Amino acid sequence: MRKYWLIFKLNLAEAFVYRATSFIWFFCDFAPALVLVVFWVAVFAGRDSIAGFSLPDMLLYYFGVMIISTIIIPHPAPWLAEQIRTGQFSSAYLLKPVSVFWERFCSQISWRMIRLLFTVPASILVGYLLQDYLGDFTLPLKRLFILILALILSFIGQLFFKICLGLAAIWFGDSFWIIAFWDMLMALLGGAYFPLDIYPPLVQTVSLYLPWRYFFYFPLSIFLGQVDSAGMVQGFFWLGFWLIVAGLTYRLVLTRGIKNYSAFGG
Amino acid sequence: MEFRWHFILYSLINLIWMALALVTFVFIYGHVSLIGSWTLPQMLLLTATFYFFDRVFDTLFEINFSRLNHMVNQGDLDLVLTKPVSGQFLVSLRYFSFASLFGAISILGLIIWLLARYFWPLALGELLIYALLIGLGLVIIYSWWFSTLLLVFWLGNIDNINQLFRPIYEVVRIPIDITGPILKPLLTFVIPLAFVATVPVQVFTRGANYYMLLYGLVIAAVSLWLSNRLWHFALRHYTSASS
Repeated sequence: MRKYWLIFKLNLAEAFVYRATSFIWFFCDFAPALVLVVFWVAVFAGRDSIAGFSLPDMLLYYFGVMIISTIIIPHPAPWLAEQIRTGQFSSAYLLKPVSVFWERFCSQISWRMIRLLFTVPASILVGYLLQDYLGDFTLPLKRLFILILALILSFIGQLFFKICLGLAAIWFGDSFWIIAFWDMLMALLGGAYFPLDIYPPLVQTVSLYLPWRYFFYFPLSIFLGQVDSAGMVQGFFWLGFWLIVAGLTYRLVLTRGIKNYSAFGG
Repeated sequence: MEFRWHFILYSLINLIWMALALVTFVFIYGHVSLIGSWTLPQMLLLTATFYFFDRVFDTLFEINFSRLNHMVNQGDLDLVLTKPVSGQFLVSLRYFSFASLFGAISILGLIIWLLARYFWPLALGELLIYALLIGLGLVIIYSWWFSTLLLVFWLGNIDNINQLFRPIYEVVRIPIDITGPILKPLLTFVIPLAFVATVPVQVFTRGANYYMLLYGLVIAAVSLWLSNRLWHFALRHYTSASS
């Protein structure tokens, strides 16, 4: 464990040195929801309700999207794919007693901690600007703990899957298109782009059996206070299911990947 | 074409992204009839125009913008500055992304279909002004985006500096004239992102506005000139790492 603590401290130092990089990634995750806030304010002009959402509901939704996007969406895949492509995967992982998952976990956590330096004040500012619409929103302590648990499980599940996307570079040379495909599905079926409720029933039903809903929409729904006890149990069941699937997929891809891996220049 | 499957899959993913964005608007318009003054066909044309612009922009600049940080921090910029060609031209247009070009051509087909289906008949002049406005938008966005990249000369190694402008730029996914009384003039006249999609599409929805065309010509020229001045100013702070 000591080595992972050292990895975490090194990455934290690096993240602090390159805080401009961290700010830009935060901005890329935070800002799109602001655009959609402007969009929905225009859509709601003269209307009280759309797909069961009032304007305050919709603005609260995107307030949640802004915060959760910056916290729980990891990005290990491009870096891993680059390591594989340049042959440095050998020296980074195969020749060292370091787990790919735990190394990336420590790295992602450290960078996220620096991101909090931007997320917290930005969220306070946006919350202040939207206070007329968010006035009734509360986050009781019990729901906050449940939310934190959901966020942690979601983060770990996404990390497993995204590491697999990065490792796909072993077979495909580059996994940029797979990563783009995943991000697209997360945005649409995870509810980061638009609330799932505006989609037709068929799309909503399909999303129930796919991981993206539980990795993003479920924690978001907890944040918004839209999940009852039965929904919590069901949501955590599926989140746990996909977490296990993600972990097993990671083991399989890593084992097979190491057998297939050949270094170029590393 | 060395990595043919990457080319095909990357192009396909981008087209699927656009298709899903279009379909999402279809879903939204199932609940409303207008967004501002924009009908569904107009919104679809705006979205298709945005994606066409985005693909053309990426064709020309994506690879080059992603390399500038490395060139500045590794000293490779020296090789560019010693050439008897504008340094800004070389760093901006040296490489092309053909995967994005394929997507642009595909989306152009969709735009033609939308125009024929929902906006016909059209005058040749309107089509030419539409194309010209998109061209002006390319110059404007290039100038603004390129200017943000120049921060690396002062801030050092920022490997994602080419992403800084993207969240600002993506506001053009929605019609600028629905953004409210503060953002609308800001994004039309000060940071003229409206020339990406909103102003070109308004040629077909409201008729050609020659004042906007003239303003676009002026602001494109001013933006390009300013970006060039900024480039030369940034070069004064460039310290070669190789010699």
